Formats: sequence, C-alpha cells, structure tokens
Amino acid sequence: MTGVRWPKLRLFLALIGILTGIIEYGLASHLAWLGIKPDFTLVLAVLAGLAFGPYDGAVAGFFAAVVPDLWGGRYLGVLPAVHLAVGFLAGLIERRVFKENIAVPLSAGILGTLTGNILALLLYRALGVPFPAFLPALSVMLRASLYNGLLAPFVYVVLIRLRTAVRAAGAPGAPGAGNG
Amino acid sequence: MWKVGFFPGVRRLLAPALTVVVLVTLMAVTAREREHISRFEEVLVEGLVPVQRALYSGAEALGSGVRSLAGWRNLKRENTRLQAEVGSLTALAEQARETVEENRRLRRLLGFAEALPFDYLPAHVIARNADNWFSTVLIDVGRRDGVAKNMAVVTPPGLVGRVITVTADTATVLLTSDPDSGVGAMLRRSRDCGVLLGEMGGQGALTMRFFSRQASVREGDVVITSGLGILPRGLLLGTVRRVRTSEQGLLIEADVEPATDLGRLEEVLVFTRPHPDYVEVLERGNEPAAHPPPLDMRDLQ
Repeated sequence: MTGVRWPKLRLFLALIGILTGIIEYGLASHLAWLGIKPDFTLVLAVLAGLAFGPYDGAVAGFFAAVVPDLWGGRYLGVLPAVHLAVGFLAGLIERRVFKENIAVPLSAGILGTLTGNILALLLYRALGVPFPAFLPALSVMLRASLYNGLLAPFVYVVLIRLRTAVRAAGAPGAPGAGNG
Repeated sequence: MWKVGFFPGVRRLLAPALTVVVLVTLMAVTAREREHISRFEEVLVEGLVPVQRALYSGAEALGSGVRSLAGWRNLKRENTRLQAEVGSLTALAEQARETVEENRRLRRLLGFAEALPFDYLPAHVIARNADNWFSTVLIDVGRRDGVAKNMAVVTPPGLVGRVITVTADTATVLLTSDPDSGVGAMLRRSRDCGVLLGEMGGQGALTMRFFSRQASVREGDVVITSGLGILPRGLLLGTVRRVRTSEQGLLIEADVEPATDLGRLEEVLVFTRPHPDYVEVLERGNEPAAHPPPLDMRDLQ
C-alpha cells in the first residue's frame, strides 16, 4: 500500500468522520441503551479500516474523534489517538477477511470497541485519571461493545457500497486496484 | 512533491509520526484543568452550537414523542389518580405558601437579609459528552451572560456540578458524577465532613469518602456541600444509600444517590454572584454557627 493513495477518498472519509463526530455529540446521549451510549465514531473507524485499509481507517477515525474531543475540552488528543489506532489496527486485517460476511462487522465492532476502550483507559491513566473499579468498568465496556457491534452491520453496508463504487471508478490506489 | 531520497520509507512514516507527537503534546497540555480554553476551541464550539442545539432538541422531542406513545395506555388511569391528588395538594400548597410568607416576615423582623443568597441564571442543556467514561454537559449561557469558571450549577433538587470552561455563549459543566469532580461535602445530621467523588463510567454513581474514621454515617443521611472549597455551603448533593469501608480498610466510604437525575438534565440554574453576606447571615442566625441550614432550592422559586 503506498503512502499517499487516492486523496479524494481520504478527504471524503475525513468529512464523513467530522459529520459523524458532530452527530455523535448531539445524539449519543439520547440513544443510550441500558445506560450506555453508542459510539458511532469508533464504529466508523473500525469499519473504515476494514473496508479500505489501515491508513484510510486511521484518517476516518482521527477526524471522527476531533469534534467530540475538542468539545470535551479536557485530555485533548486521547480520542483522536484511540480512534486512529483502532482504525489502523482494523485495517491491518482488511485483506484477510471475507467482507461480505455479516459476522465480520459484528465481531469487528465488538472487538474494536473493547480495544478502543482499553486503550482509552490506559491513556487516561497515563494522564493521571485513576482506573475505574474493575467490574463496573468491564460491565460498561462489554455493554458498549455489544451495542456498537449491533450497530456496525448497518454502517458497514454503506461503507461496502462506497468501496464498490470506488473500485468501479478505478481510482488509482483504490482498494483492490493493485496498488497495495 | 517532497522527495526524501535515501530513506524512501521515511516519508510514509512522517505524517503518522508527526500526528503522534502533536497528539501527545495536546494530551500533556490539556490533562490539567485549564483557566481558559484556546481561541480555536472557542470558535469551534461556538460555531457548532446551532447544529448541536438542533440535533439535541430534535432528538429530545422525538424521544418525548416515542415515550408518550408508549405510555398512552397508562395515561387515562394516571389522569384520574392525579386529579384526585391535585385536590389535596392544592390545599397543602396554600398552607405552604402561608408558612413561607410567615418565615419571610420573621426573618425580616430579626434583621436577616431578605434577598436570595445568590443571583442565578437559567440555562438549557444543549449537549452532553458522547463517551461513557466522563460526565459533562454543555449549557447555552456563557461569558456574555456573566458566567465564569467554578460557578455552581444547580437544579431544584440540588447541586449538579460546576462550570469548568466558558466561551462567549456557552459553558461546560463538570457534573458531580465525573471522575475529575471532587466536592467538599458533609452530612446534614452529624456534620461529618468528607469529599464527594464521581466515578469513571459510574453512570451517575457517587462515593463520599470521610475524613474521620469515627464519622457517624447511616443509610438515609442527607449530604450537602460543606463550603470547604470553591462551592458555597448548604447545597443539596444526595442521600446515603450504603456505608462501607474503603478497599484498604482505612477510611469510611458511602455510596450516595444524587439528589438530581444527572442523566436527564434539561434546565439548570447557574449561581452567578454570591450574596456577600450569605455565610455571615447564616452564622448570625438562630441556629448555632456550626449548624447552618442547608439551602433548599425550593426557597428560590
């Protein structure tokens, strides 16, 4: 995979990411289930990585987390770092999975959320925030993972269609176009 | 295009490396509570407020509609019951009004300050933090309205948090359930002091850690602000639900149920200016100086 690939795709993913971040901040608390808010930005990061590869996943994740991060006003940089990492890691298995299987986004959403939350807790700990109690934290992470996992297939369908369109357009550096 | 030449892989790693350096620097700079946020952050927050407000209120309206439809079956039964209750409550309200008026007259007579102890500003919640670990809300009043950092934010039941960042037209409120929150608190009954802490991912759970190992704590005790800190004394915080010892067995801790449902905040009040004689008035009162009456938010209505 080359360092600079199809710039329009990355720009598009960045804009989608920013929009997702804005929507996340406005709607997530209203969509809480069993006290847990969904994390559309993390789901986008994971699935963008899965659909397009590590660098595109990192770009989508980074820009998706920027708005919620800046609005929070504290510990700036943690959310973009986590989302960037999760998007990148998910992208590493992009070529190894059968993308049309519904279990792929489901399990990616679950594992990606778990990974993202663990990374976030480690970063917050490094910045001086004490670890939460183990069982409550595990409960939060498992419920959040399940919720995001259930949302993931819906987002994945859209991203896969975008991926197909990109491939059909034959853009240089597009996934599967032979520039990997 | 920039050619790195001898190290072809370096260009590919440059952007990620620079990104990591910037992010780590940002984390280090913003880990501590800041006096002011940057101009860039202020512009971003202010610029997106109309979008955020539309999304939040739209979702709130939709949610109310869905909840109304779901509760339709119970509405008629509830209506009949409530009508009967209204009748008896009306009589009680009249008695209460009479009592309040009498109280005000007596206070005037004894030379107490009649004015409210604080000037306050009503505000609406227009956004909440999106993650599951922290607890903050964004309100639609800011510097232009007289809001400043560390001002107390309350609802009729009691304290919900304090202002931590302010822009021209908005302010971020750190809720008491946030892990960075630590409110000086005491029990109304025994006057034992401690600190009320939020928990990361606790979803509204509060823990009070007492300073003294001999603290007298029991279930049902009312917790109020102690005034030992930046928040005024007497604001209602919650009720003790369970008493236990800390993990190390050295301190007494209590699980506290917040007075306000922090997950359903819609309107709040920001205390903008404390009455200069607030504490002095309480000290000079009929009650001993060590037992100031807690500030009951219903007195402000």
